[in-house]
Amino acid sequence: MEAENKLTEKVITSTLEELILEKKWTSELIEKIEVLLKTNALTDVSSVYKAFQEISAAKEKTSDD
Amino acid sequence: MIKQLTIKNIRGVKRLNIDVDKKPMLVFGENGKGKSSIIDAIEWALTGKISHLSESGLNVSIEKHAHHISSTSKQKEVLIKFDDDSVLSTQVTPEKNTKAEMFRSKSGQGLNILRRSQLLLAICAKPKDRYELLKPFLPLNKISDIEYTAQKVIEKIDLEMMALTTKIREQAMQISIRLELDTNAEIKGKQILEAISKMCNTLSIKQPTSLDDLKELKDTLLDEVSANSDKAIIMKYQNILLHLKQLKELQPVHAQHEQLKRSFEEYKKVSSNKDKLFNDVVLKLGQKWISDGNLKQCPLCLNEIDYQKVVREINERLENEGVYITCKKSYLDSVGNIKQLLKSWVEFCTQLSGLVKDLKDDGVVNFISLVEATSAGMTDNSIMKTPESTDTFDIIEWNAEIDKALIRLISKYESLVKSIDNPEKIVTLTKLLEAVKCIENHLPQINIDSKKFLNLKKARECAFQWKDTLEKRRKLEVQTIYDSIKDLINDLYGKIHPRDTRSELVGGINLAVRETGGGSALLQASFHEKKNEDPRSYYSESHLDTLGLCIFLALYKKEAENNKYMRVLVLDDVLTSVDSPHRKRVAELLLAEFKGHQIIITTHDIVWFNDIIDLQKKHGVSFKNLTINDWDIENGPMILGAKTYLDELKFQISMGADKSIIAGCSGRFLEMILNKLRYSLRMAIEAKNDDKYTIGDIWPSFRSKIKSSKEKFLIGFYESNRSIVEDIPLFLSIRNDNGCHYNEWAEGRSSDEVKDFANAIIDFYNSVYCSNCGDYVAKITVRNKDEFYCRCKNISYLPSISLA
Repeated sequence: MEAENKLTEKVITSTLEELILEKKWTSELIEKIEVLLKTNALTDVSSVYKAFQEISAAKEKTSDD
Repeated sequence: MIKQLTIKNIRGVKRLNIDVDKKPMLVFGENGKGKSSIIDAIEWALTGKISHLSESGLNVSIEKHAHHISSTSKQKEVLIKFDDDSVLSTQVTPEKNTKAEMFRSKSGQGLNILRRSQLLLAICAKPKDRYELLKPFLPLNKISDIEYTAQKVIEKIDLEMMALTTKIREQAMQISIRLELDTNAEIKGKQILEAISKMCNTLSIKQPTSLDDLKELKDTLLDEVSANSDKAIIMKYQNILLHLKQLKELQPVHAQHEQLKRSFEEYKKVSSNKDKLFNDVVLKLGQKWISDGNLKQCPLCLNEIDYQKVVREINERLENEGVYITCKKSYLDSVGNIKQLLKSWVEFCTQLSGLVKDLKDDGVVNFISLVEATSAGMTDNSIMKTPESTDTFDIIEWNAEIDKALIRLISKYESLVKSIDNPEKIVTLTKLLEAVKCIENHLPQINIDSKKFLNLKKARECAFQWKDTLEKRRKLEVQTIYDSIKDLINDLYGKIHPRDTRSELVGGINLAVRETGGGSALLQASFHEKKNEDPRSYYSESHLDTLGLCIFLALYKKEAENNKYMRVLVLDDVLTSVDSPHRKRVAELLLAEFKGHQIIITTHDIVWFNDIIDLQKKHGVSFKNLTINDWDIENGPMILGAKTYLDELKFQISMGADKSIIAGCSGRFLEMILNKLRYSLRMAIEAKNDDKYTIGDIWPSFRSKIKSSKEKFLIGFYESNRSIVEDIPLFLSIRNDNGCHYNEWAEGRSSDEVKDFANAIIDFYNSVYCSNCGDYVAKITVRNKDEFYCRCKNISYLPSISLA
């Protein structure tokens, strides 16, 4: 279990880093995923769906700005 | 460590109790004697499943026929007692914080059990399937769940986007009909404004500059209607006529019905042939294979193939697939169109119903009832019917009376409208007012839905980036894990196949993740100068067997590093194609690399069984060595106990067993000794296809070699054991007469003669086998000189004096 947690965290961290580095996502969007990670909600379809909807709304706001 | 194992009514075992005594366990038994049943029982207790059985197979084996096929008792149970006296049972949940509980939770996926079938699968599977086999060893459950969730979110968003697209299209269609625009084309605000402006121009009304002006336009139009209030009833007729004409302008339903029927027949024709036409997976593989351009090798079996023929066949199938998809799409489009058309008819009729409410026109009321009833019947009917669900097309037809009634009603209302002055103006005014109301009704919702659609599109983009990047990063991590296992696999493989001969230039094993597609484990290895090749292309069966074994052992070892409860390693008859020297190296490897692990090995190979017994002494490990003597349906496996050939022979002599039993035991014992000496003395024996050598194959050349050899040490050995070597041939007929075949004339042999034969074999054994180092005497060549001794030199033979 420990190895699994460690690998999961490593994959997610490097994924988020890549998304920031390639300027695909802003830090605001990253935070959403980090909250889901902390609350173990990354495997809950409705929570992840909601987060991505909020992310898209935030993206829209950013592009409007 | 396991202390005791009790099995009741599982597979081939009726009742079995083994005092494992915290030791590794070695079980010998010929095929069908119940070895694997013991392993199945252990796996069932540890994991709740038997991995080589499907769910239905498990049901038959465990639920329906416990034990096996003839038992009347259905009580089935496995009890594994651990060294802390905790018990793992298939019936009761183990107590908390005991070894039983830890073993069940930590070895829950059966990562410590290897069978030959799994070993072959690991080598022969496609990279994707091999990955599925390796997956339990990789700590990927959580990240896989996260990726799976991301995929589900994408699918959810896709479904919502599809639903919104349909909703927007339906609303836009209503506006298109009112403005007499093409209903199949996408409409935009500019087109709506242009159509309205054109109608305003006809009526000499101020044109709107944007869609925001529509409210003002509606007020103007209502004023116009009010100014013509005395003509209100005429306007109503006009409005009814307008609706009736719009109904007539809709596509004829009977024509659509005909189209539906045609597409049904075509779809039915190709769908009946569907299975022959294509297989999605094969086609996708084929498409990828063609695009990759690696055409000389089959992507499935890796054999060389006539690729031009295969390409031709794939192209034909792709063409057929195209026909099938086109027919299916055409049918589904027709169903969609007719439903949409019926919906429009019903909507217009609903509006018409409101308009004629005060007029009490029975003709219109009856017309509306007929349309509603026919539409409802056809809609319900068409939803249910596809060529997959019905053989015949029996969707009810459009009632021709409707079209006739419509023409009669149009004619009636045209006569009524003709009495109006300037009817064109009233027509346009009514049309425009209806259009503006419709736009006012639908446009805000279209705007809301379009915004939702765009947001969903952005959400999908984010979700896809998330899933895609996760997958990429997971693959990198999996490759890192593969790399770390790779060294261990090569290390283990090198110990079984030391690169000291030309035939052993193997290794360079590599596990790789494919960049494209889902999870994969590409297996590569080297053979002489060939690097990174699929080992199946070059390796022998036995090299592949040991490769599969080393992959499993490396994964097990890695798992055991992080899991202190991963200490029971089970190998169920895993080596079949491997020859004796390699099998012995495998045994050496297991005993050296897995010290402190409770290894449970089953084998049908008596030579390997004895090899492992010999090595136990060398490695100072005490095993529970068991021989399954026989199996029958009433009793299950009959275990002899921890007996070697020597123990067995001594036991039978001491029990005063029948001479045929003693002769048989002696023969098998001698055969085993000679097989051992064949290797240790490097004797040349005429090769046999099945690699199984009997006394008759080995003894004559052995005897002649030691008697007439120019090798002085062999002569020395002969001189030291002359009486035994000369006596044994005399006794061999006893073995043949009494131990192998029944001969009436052999009844005359006395029991004493048989015992003498047995004792001569025991003496011979003691003269060539050292109980101190557990090794047989061997020919050792040092600086071109041959010497002849066991590993610890406790037994050694001097050169012949006469030749020295």
